Amino acid sequence: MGNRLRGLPITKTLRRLIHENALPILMTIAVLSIGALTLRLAYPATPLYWGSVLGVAGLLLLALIAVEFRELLTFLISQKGQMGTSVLVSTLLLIGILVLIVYVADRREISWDWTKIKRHSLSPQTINVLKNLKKEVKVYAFYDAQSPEFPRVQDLLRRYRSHSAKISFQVVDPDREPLLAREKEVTGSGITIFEANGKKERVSFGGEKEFTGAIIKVTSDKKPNVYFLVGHGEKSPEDFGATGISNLKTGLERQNYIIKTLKLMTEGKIPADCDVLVIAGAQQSLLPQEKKVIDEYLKKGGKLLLMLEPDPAPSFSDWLDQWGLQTNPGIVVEPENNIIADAAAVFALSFRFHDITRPFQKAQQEAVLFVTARPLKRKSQVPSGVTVSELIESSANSWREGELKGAVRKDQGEEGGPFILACAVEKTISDKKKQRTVVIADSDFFTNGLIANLRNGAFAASCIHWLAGEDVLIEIPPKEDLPSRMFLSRHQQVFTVVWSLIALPLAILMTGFIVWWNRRG
Amino acid sequence: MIQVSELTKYYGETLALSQVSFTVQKGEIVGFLGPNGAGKTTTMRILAGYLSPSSGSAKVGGYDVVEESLEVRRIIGYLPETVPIYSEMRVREYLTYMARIRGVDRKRVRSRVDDVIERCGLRDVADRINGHLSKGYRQRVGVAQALVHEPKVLILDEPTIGLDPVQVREIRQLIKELAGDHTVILSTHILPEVSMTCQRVLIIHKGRLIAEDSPENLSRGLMKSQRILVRLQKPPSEPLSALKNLDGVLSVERRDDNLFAIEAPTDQDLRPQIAEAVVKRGWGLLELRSEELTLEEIFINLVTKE
Amino acid sequence: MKGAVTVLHPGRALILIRPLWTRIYEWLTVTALIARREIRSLFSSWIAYVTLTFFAFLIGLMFISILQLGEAGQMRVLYWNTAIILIFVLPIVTMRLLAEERRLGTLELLLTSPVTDWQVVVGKFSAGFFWLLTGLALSLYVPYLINRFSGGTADLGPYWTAYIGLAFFAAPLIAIGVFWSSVTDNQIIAAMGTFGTYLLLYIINWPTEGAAGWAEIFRKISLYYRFQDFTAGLIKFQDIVYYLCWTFLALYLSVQVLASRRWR
Repeated sequence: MGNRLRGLPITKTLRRLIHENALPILMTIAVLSIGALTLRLAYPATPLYWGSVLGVAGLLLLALIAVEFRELLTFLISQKGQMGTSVLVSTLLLIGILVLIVYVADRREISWDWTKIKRHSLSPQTINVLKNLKKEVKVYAFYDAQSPEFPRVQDLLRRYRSHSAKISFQVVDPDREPLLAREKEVTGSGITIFEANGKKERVSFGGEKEFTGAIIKVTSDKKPNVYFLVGHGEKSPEDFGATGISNLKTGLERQNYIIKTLKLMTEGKIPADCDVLVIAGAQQSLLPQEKKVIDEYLKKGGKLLLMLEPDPAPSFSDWLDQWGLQTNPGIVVEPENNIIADAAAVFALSFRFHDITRPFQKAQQEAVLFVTARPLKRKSQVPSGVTVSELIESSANSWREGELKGAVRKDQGEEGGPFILACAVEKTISDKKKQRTVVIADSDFFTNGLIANLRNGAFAASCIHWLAGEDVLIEIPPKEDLPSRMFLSRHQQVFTVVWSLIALPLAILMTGFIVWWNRRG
Repeated sequence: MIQVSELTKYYGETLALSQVSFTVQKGEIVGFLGPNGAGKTTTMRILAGYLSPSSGSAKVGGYDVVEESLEVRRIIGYLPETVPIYSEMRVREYLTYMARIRGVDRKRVRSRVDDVIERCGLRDVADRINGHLSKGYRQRVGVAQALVHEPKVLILDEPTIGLDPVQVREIRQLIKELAGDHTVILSTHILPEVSMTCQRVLIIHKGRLIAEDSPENLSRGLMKSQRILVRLQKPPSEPLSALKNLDGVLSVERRDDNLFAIEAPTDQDLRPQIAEAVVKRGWGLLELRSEELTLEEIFINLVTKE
Repeated sequence: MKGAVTVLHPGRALILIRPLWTRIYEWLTVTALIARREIRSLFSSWIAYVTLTFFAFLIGLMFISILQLGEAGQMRVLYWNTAIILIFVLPIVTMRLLAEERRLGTLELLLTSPVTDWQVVVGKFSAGFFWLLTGLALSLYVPYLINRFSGGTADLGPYWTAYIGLAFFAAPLIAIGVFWSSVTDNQIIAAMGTFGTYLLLYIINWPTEGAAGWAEIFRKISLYYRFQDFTAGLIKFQDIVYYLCWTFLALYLSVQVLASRRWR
């Protein structure tokens, strides 16, 4: 009995309170919901804020429903309630259907480009490539969702897909899809990855020209042959030890490369199917005959990856000379970033802009670890027809350590940095053809022992990609607005002002006045 | 032509119509009588397909007003309570538009419009703008639009409201002429209007149908007594006893200095006796007439009878 | 055969027999009648002329100021701003569409005529759309003069797409106007409600500037966001679908409001 006396009046009062204030409570719920939404937008990271506000709103709603249950039920079975509910349900259903329609339509690219220069259309070259596409191409574009690039890339890829069903793509924000980004080795925004048949191509930023090029590259059936010169103490792809490069071989083979070794001394010539020749840190000089064969090969546009080693290894200075490079004995010492306290180790952080370094440019924290790098510098005068692009350099504080005896410090006669650690050389051999060489000041960085460090493996692969890359030269004219200047004569200016500001508005007003006048009587 | 059964309508919680049932034969003119807010307009709106009943059903010309609303709307002509005309249109323009909307064949529109202009006496104002018309003409334009497509059923909500007596008579005459070709159902809160135009009266009060009969029967049946008014030139200071003593007089009431109301049974006409009595006493008879019962009184009677 | 069916059920059976295209034609005829009447009424009131004058004057003002730049390609800014002007002008045009009929009582007349609610709503919408087309037609001197002044070198494609875009952009706006006009018989409230809705749909993508995640939905809802491609010479099917969906939704809601008179 006492229980009842205690419990009942409070419940009753509460019920009455809620019932009499149903409308204010409803409004409070609405305000709280809007508040929760605002909080959700303002503090997306703290669900406690909006969650608790929404929770209070939910509790109020529950209380209201509990108290007004009977009234609610009577309303719902009345004519008004029934009709209202059915309209509400059908409206929600319609909204659902419309959302679905918009969603489906948004995934398709059907558009009409009415500009003269076809600014919003793909070029005939690209369309041709897409028409002849035989392989499935998967595209992952990583862009910051807030950047204006995001919808632009989305639209561009949609246009690609509208021309070929073989293309499938995803445009994602790397921050929102960290797993996918990690899987695709993407850090940061602006990277697009093209995948087909296990081949992979990265494009950073870029537009139609780059995208189409990437598609051609990943879908080409050609398996590039990479020959590693042996016989002079070079690192060998067959060597599974710490100084061997078998890991690189496996990695390249996975990317459709065929890796072979070349004993030039016995074979006497470079095979015709050689796409890239690698000299991975020869310890002894090449025979003059060998050099001659390679010279011939280069003259015909053969591609070479030349990796140097410090003295006493050969300096290849005659070739370097032709490419506008020079080298000195000793090794590069990099005082910066050197946390493993090894004078021979060089953490290279500064990537220069080039196709090879594209995958690494965006994120400054990426680095390549070189060990015992030969000091390499650009000559003051580069021969004509040759372009040298530095890929990685040591810092300005680094220096050439001539003698590795005694204290490691910058002595008299030891010139300071920056030194070229890797560079790409292009030499014009005819109007259309360029011979490509990559010179790297070290050959240890991609051995089995070091290749797993930092971005070493990726960098080595990237160099070989660039060398093996067919010159996908698609010329897509830039889509610039056709300038059309207007020069108005004095007469035209006056006419424009009179017509658009006075005559036309006045004519409309007069028409209205006449209509009004006529209807008066 | 019209069958209404157990029509009920709620506006939210308020009951506007409760279980109203009636039928109207083809060619009949039926009056809907009741004070404002009794449910006349609601009934008419349901019949015209503008509202749906909460329960019950109504059929017009064999079509259900809810299920076959469009068919019903094709055969009715409806004049709402507030005369609905586009004020910026000219009369002929407006009637042509209404005719087209109501589905009159394109070739017949002109002749139909001319016809209703003639019938409703709108010839002088046919090219005037609606907004500039007098109240009487607007009302006639309203009736004309309801007639323009030759509907089988005419539903007129308070067709004479706000008109001067001459106009009222014209409209009533017009409605009478329509009987036969059309079935007419009209609402009013003025009793004489019903007795003058309708063959049958439905009295509605607080959403209920409380009486249904011909006007004559209705007033006769409802009146327990009739009232005779007498105006005297030289009334005596105390004439009441002289009149009260007449045979059959139930009561006498002095309305003002000169006017007296005498109540008498309905089966007897006491006017000769009253006249004689007045003349005999030399009071100077100015006026002698029987007074109609007002609607309020009929209502009070009906409601008290219930 | 006709006789046999008539015995079964007079009017209704005939409707079923009539071929689809006659029914569509009849539907459109009545809708066009309603639209035509509304247009005549709109253009016999001062509202149409004052709004058109205002519209034409602002376009003229922008035209001259952009012409100072001397570059034909800059003119897309004019159409961006035209869309904004519409946000201010359209509520005044649409406020009367149904509210006026309600006020005069003619809505009751219209809805007791053999006319469906959809015909009324679509007719009113068409009248509003006619005003828009008139306004746009009055601004066609802009591409004409640009073509003249640039000696025919200007690319007029983006101008035409901008006009198409404006028509699709304005369609949901007008439909929203019809909706508000169906809700109330007070034209001021109708105009305010319409303008408020426009503003909400216009600014709703603002919070997405900083936020991420599902806030992107708001960008999708925003009407103005999708308009810009049209002024760049590109017509996207998805944008057209989007605008038509909005239009349909607003018209559907208007019809529901009209139909609710029966049971409210």
